[in-house]
Amino acid sequence: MNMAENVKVRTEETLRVKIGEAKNLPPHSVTGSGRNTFCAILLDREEIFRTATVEKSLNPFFGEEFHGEIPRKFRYLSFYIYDKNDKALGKVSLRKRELHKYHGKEHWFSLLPVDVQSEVQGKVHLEFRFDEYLSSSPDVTYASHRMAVRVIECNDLMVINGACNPYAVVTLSYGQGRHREEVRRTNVKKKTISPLFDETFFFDLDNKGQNHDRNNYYVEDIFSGELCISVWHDESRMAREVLGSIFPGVFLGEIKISLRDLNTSGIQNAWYFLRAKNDMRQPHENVGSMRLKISYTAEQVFASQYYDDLRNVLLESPDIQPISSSAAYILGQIVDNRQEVAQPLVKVFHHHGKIVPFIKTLAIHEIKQTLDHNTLFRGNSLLTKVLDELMKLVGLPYLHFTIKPIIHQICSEHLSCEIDPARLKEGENLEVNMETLKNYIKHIFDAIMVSGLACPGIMCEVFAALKKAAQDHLPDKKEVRYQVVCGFIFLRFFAPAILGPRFFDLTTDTQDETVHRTLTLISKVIQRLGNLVSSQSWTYCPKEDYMVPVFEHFSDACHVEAVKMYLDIISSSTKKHSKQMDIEQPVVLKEGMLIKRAQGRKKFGLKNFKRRYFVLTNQTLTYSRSKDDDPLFVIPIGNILAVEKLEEQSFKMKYMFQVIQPQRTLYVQANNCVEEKEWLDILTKVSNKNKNRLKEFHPAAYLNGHWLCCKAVDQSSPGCTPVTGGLPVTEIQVDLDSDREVEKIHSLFLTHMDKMEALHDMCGILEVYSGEAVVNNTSGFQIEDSKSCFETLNEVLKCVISLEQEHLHYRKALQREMVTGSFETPIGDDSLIISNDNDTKL
Amino acid sequence: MREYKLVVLGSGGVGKSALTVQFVQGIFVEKYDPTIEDSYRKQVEVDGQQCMLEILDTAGTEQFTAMRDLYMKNGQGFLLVYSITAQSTFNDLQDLREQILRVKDTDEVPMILVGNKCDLEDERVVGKDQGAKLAQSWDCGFVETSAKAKINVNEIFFSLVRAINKKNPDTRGGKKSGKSKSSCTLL
Repeated sequence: MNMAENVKVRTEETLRVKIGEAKNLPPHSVTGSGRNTFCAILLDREEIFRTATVEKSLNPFFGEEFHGEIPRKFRYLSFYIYDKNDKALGKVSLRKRELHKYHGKEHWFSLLPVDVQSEVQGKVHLEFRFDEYLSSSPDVTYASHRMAVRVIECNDLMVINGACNPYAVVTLSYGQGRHREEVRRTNVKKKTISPLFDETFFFDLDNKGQNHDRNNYYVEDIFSGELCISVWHDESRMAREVLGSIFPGVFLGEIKISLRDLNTSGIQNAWYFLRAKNDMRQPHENVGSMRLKISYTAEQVFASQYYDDLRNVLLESPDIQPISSSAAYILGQIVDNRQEVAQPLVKVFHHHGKIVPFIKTLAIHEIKQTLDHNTLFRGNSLLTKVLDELMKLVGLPYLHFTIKPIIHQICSEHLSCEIDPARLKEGENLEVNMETLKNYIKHIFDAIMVSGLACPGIMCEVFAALKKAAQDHLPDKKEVRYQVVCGFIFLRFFAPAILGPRFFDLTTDTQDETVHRTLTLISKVIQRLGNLVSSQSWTYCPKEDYMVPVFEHFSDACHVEAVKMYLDIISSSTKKHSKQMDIEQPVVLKEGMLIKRAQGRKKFGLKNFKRRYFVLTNQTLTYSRSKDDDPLFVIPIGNILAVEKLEEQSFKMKYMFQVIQPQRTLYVQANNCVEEKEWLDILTKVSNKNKNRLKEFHPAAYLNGHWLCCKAVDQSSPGCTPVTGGLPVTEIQVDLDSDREVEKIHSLFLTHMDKMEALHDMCGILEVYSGEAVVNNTSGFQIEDSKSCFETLNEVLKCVISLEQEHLHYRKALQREMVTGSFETPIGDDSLIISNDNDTKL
Repeated sequence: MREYKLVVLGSGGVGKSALTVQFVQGIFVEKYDPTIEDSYRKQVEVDGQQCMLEILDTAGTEQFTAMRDLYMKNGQGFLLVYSITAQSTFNDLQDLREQILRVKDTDEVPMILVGNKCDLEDERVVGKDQGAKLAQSWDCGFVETSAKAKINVNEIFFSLVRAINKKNPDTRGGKKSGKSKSSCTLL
């Protein structure tokens, strides 16, 4: 199959950059002091990101990250350090094709001075033709030589101060030392970066020689000449008039061609990359260096069917026993950078609806391997990375909905919350700070506690799976059930987001020291509050002394109960069939005496009102005669289609709400408005993710043969009013590109082929020597079952090799199709923009 | 009095806080509570000289690594801690060390390799020779410790102070050793 002809192949590029810091920037020339600087990322000449400004430093610490898809072709990735007044202090320019050298590792790069003359971009389309024609002079007729240079067009020129009025200059220099020249110029094109000139200039070659008598030599002579085509921006008529014709405008780039390199027979037509001026290769001054971590990936993604085999092998992972013999786990073993592995795996498994079983299997595996349950899921394993990535993938809208307003408030109020006496600044009052801090913590804590409802379903399912795994394998360690959930939702989600809101897109601003300190303190307390639940008692843990009063303030039964309930809500998956539900210990969420109207289970008889004791767990709503009696009626959470208030007119009673089920509706009266709201809220929370949840309901009751609200006669007529308690939009469907992710995984396997083969060999040896520990396991591979591992490896190898064959075909076909000098592949890719091959330490 | 900025680094659950709290307060923290970022000050005497130690106990959780850069930039000496009961925590240190060297932009940074939980001999998976070998290749000190049994806890902090002293002998002017001026003098 010819894949190059197949337009289905797409190239997807991603760039991830960590801008660390710069150092030894040149001091201010006048004051000699620090500067206010920021760093910008540029694709060619287009700025795609800039950091916040770091004040008064020649060693600015930026600590920012950029992550994005690259939607267009580019040649150079550059980083500019600007003084606040937009003067460029230095830059790092890297060619696209050398980016792989720095992939995923941090490096210090030397900064180079920025010179306007070196800043070029774009290309020019030219045509050259050599004519021989008969020329006659009075004495003799002889063959003359003439060169035609056609300047056709330019593309993608640089914009100077928001304008580009380009023109081209064709210069032929010749003679000894090329000191003689002939200059032609095109017309100026207004306001375009892709001017169409189509002007042809003729250069007579014959009378340029030094010896007029010998034609043959003329040509020889002239061919030592050089042609230069330069492009300029005609800045303004004003500038020209004031400065005269000496001022040519702004240089946009040039190309230089030795006439010797041109083919004299026939027409040559080609695109050329514009280059910087040649004469600035002088040793440059030292303008400092900067630390960057650059990860650039480009994937050639084929049509979907090419990925089916590898995808299937991967998706089987949760079913492989032991999991350490599965393709996904093996990938985690051979690649050191777990994040690089976790990202595509999460997307693939999530996309194909297998993320929950995958995480569950990994979790069970990890539980079995952890000796001390205190440190369960605390290491940096494939499981924890997968969960981190999943929460970032599906949880951001939820995170934003929950704490963004408060984070924003904290950042804008800019109040000091320092409670460490040793760090207290002059004029600050510890008591005042303490109150501010407590107030912030309370806000964030409350916001999280009431947000359980909004937690994305997939996260809830994962938490439920984790809880269950802990329950099954550590049945006597009750506290671990909470610990595993809060170890993710607090420790790996809320706490890091509060501490570094920019990394979770909660804000785009950088935090100064005061705000950062406030966020750190809040993050610590929130983490601790989450952790309280898993401990038997909330005794003070002897860490920093000054934190004790804050912890004590929040460490009471009330907060612990709130956390417990929150954790229960986000870790109950109500949509699961009842068989699984039974295993899960029901957790009481709310209970109390209420008055309910008979549901009409009997065809006849009065529908009276009775006092009943209601109990809501994460699984059912039940009522009984009194607290200790057996339930009279059980409503599984899954049967709750909606929970809504009931209009007072229905029964002329206040505080009534209705629990709508498939066959009937339960009408309940609470004792007061507060209680009513509590029941409404908690019932909505537990039932909100039911798939069969109603969209409409009847706000009043069905009495005397019709609905009081809409007068409809049919008791089964659909509701007339939209349900309330509409979920905030925190579950945004992420559009995932499974093929692309599998391609990423393919390339991970491919780049770690050596390790895969080593593992393969080791499994083979273990198999032959029937598992005897003869293998010196220096690689740190974990092989539980050599046979199944060996088999999986064989399959993966087969898929990867066959997929790579396709890549090879495609690359060859591309190469065949590539024409140097075409619009896509202009001549002169090795531009003279000074590149940074000389980064200091590699 | 000379000030020392020490940073305790390592994966989650290796006992960074247990070591730090044991050293600073002489208590073993029974209850496990993952750290976000804690800092302590303690005045000690090392080789007859009074020192003020500012110890930063960091998060082992990878979600907080965005902050690591700053710790590394500001820290003068590092304790790289693993647990002798978990191989992965040992393997994780290589990256940490590399990151420190990158951030500091030098090959000589005072650090001590620490194998914690040496009281759990039965559960040991990282051999003492493995630790010693790694420390040798890094050209740094190596100590196995137990925060619980209070083995070698003070030693690691003292060794780190000595390592800092060795690299940057105290210039007896009482100059504040904060700003990283030294890294500029490389070229």
